[in-house]
Amino acid sequence: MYRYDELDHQVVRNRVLQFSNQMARYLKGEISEEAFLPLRLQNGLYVQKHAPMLRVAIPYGMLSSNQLRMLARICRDHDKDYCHITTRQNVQFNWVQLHEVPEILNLLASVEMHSIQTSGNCIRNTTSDPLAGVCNDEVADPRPYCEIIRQWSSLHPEFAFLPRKFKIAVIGADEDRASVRLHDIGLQLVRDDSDALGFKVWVGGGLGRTPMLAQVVREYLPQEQLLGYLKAILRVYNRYGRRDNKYKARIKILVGSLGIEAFTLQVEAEYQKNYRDDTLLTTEEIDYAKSFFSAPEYAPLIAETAAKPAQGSAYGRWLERNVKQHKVPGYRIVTISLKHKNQAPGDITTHQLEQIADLAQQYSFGEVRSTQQQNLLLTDVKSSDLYALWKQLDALDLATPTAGTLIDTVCCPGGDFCNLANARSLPINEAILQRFGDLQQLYNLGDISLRISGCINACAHHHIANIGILGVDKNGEEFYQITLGGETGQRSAVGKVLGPSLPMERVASAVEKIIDVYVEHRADKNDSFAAVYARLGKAPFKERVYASHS
Amino acid sequence: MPHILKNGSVQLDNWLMVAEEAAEPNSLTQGQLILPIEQWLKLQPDFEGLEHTPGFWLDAGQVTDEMEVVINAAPVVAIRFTSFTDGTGFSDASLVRETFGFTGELRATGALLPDQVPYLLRCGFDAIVLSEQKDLEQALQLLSLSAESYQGSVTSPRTPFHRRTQKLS
Repeated sequence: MYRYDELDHQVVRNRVLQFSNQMARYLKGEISEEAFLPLRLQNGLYVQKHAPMLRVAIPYGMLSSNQLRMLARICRDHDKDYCHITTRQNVQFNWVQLHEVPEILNLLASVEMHSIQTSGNCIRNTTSDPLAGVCNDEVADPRPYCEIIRQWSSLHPEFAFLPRKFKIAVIGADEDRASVRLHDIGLQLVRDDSDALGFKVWVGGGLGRTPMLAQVVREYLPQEQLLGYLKAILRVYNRYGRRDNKYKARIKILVGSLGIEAFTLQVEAEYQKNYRDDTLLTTEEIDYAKSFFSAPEYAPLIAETAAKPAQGSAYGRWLERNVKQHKVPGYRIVTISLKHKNQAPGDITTHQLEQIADLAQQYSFGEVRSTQQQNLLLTDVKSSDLYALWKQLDALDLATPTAGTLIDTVCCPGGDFCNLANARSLPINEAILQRFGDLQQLYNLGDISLRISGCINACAHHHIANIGILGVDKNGEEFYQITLGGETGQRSAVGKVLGPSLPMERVASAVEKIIDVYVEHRADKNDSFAAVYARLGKAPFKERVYASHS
Repeated sequence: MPHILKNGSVQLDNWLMVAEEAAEPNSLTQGQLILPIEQWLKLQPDFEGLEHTPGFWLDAGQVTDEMEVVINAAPVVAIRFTSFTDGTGFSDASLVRETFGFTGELRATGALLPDQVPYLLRCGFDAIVLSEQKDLEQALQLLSLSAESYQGSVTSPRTPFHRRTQKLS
C-alpha cells in the first residue's frame, strides 16, 4: 500500500496547521460563519444534529492495521467508542468536539491519513474497486492511478471552489464494484489494439435529485495523458458549470444541457489547447506509483485442506456468503460484515477496530479494504486459516453471514444523526430486518440489494439498489419513496419510483410484498431481481404494494 | 493608499481601480489606472504616449477564449471575484497564464478570503487585493504554511511523482 514520503507528510502537516489557524480564528470570531463554512467543509467537518461530524478519507478503501488502531484510539478518546464506514470509502466520526478537531487531524496525520476534501465543493476522495489486485477480471490494478489522482487533486489550486462536489472513481475490472458511471468522472482501465494501457472515460454521472448515468467522453485515453485530460474536464466544468442553483450545479447538468457531443468537443478543445509535456505522466512515475501496490508475498501453492463444514452450519453459511475466490490459489477474500442486528449498518466499535487490526495482521498482511456496501474486507486470507478467522470474527459480531443478501443493507445515518435528512433510515432498516430474519429464506432469494437514504442527497445510493428507499418529508411527517430496478456491477441502472410515498409503518411490509412478487415471477434462483423487474415492469409490484390501500 | 500583497510582501498599491459607476476619468494621465474593461476598450485609442498604459478589470467568469489579444495588450489585468465561493476566477487566471501566455500583472480582487491566497498565487495571480490590511498579513502567515504542493503552480507545473522519480534517477 502507498506510504507517505517527506513531501506527503509536509503537505498533510501544513494542512493541519492551516486548519488549526482557521479554527482558532473562527473560535475568536475573526472568521464569519459564512466564510468558515467552505474552509471547514474542505477539511471534512460538518455541523450535525448533535455534534460536528468529521469525515476522514480512506483513499481507494485501503487501511493498514496501524491506521485501524488509530481510528480506534480516536473513537475512544474523541468519540463515543464507535465510528461509521460510509459507501464512498470514508470513515465518519459523529460525536467529535469542534476544538478537538485539529488534534484529531494531527493523530490521523501521524498514520498517513487526512480529511482533506472529504466534503465541500471540491474534488472528493477518489474511490476504487475494493477487490483491486486480488480479483480475476482485472486489466490492471487501478490503485496506482488512484494514488496519482489523490495527490494531483489534493489542494489543487484551480479546483478548490467548484460549482459543486466532484467525485472520481477508477476501476480496472470488468465488473464495476465502484459504480464508476455514477460518478462525475468514471475511469476504467482498458487496453487498445496494441495492448497499451489507457482509460475509458465517462463524465456526468451522479445520484441526488437528478440521478444520471455518466456517458463516454473518450473510449481510449492513453494512461500518460490522464492528468491533463482530467484537468481539461474540470476546467470546462469550473468555467461553465451553473452556480446559480445548487441543485443544477453538478457536472451532470452541464453535460445534460450541452449534450454529450458538444461537451466532449469542448473538453477535447481545452485539452488540445493546453497539451503540454509537463502534464504527461512518465513511465518512471507510473512505475513508481505501481511499486507501492505489488502483490504481497503469497505462500507457494497452499493445499486446499479446509474440511467441508456440515451443511447448514453457521461456519458453512458464512463460507457460502462471506468468502469469495481469490486470484491466487489457496487464498480467499473475506467480508467482515458490519451488518449485525445490534449495530447500525456500517457502524464499528473501538474494540472491533482494534481486533480487526490484529486479525488483519495475523491473517491478511496487515491490510483491510472498505466497500461500497459498508463492509470491510480481508483480501488475502489463506483458505487454511478460514475457520480460525471465522471463530474470532463471530465472537466479535462481525460474521453475520448475509453478504450480498437483502439484509446486507446499505443505510445512511439518517434523521437520527444527520442535519440534512428528511426522515430516519435506521428504524426502517430495523423493521425490515425483523421481517427477514430467516437465513434460509434470504439465501433462497439470492443476491439482491436494498439501500436506504434519509434524504435526496442519497448517501446510501438508493437509486442503484434493486430496492431503494428514500426518506421524504410530507408536512413534517416521515414518508418513504420506493424505487425499483436499480443496478450496479455488471450493469448500471437507475431505479424507477414505484408510486406515492408510504408512511413509515408500511415500508417493511411493502418490501415484503415486492419480494413476494419477485419470487412468484422468477424462473429460478438465477433469475435476478433486476432481470425480473426489467421483464415485468413496475405494474405487478405496484399493484401488490398499493392494493389494499387504494 | 490601499495595500496589496505582491512579491511575498504587503506593499502600497500604485494602481487605482476605477469603479464601473464612476465617471470617466478626467484625464488618463492622472496616474496608474485600472479601468472597467468596457471603458478600457473604448479609450484604448487614446493610450498612446501615456506614461502609464491603463490596465483593466473584469468579473470572474467574463474571460472568454477570444480575449487573448486584448489581455496581452494590458499591463495589468484584474479579475474581480463576486463571491469567495465562486471559483471561476481560479480557472480564468490559469487560462490567462497558460493559454494566453500573459506576462503582465494579474491581480485578484473582490470577495476573497485570506485563506484562498495560496491557491490564487499558484493559479498565476501575482497581486492580491483584500479589503483589510490585517487579512493581507493573515494571508502571508498562511502562505508560509503552503510552501509544499503536489501540483506546483501555473508557472512551474509538475505531476505529483515528478520530483520523486527525479531524485531516484
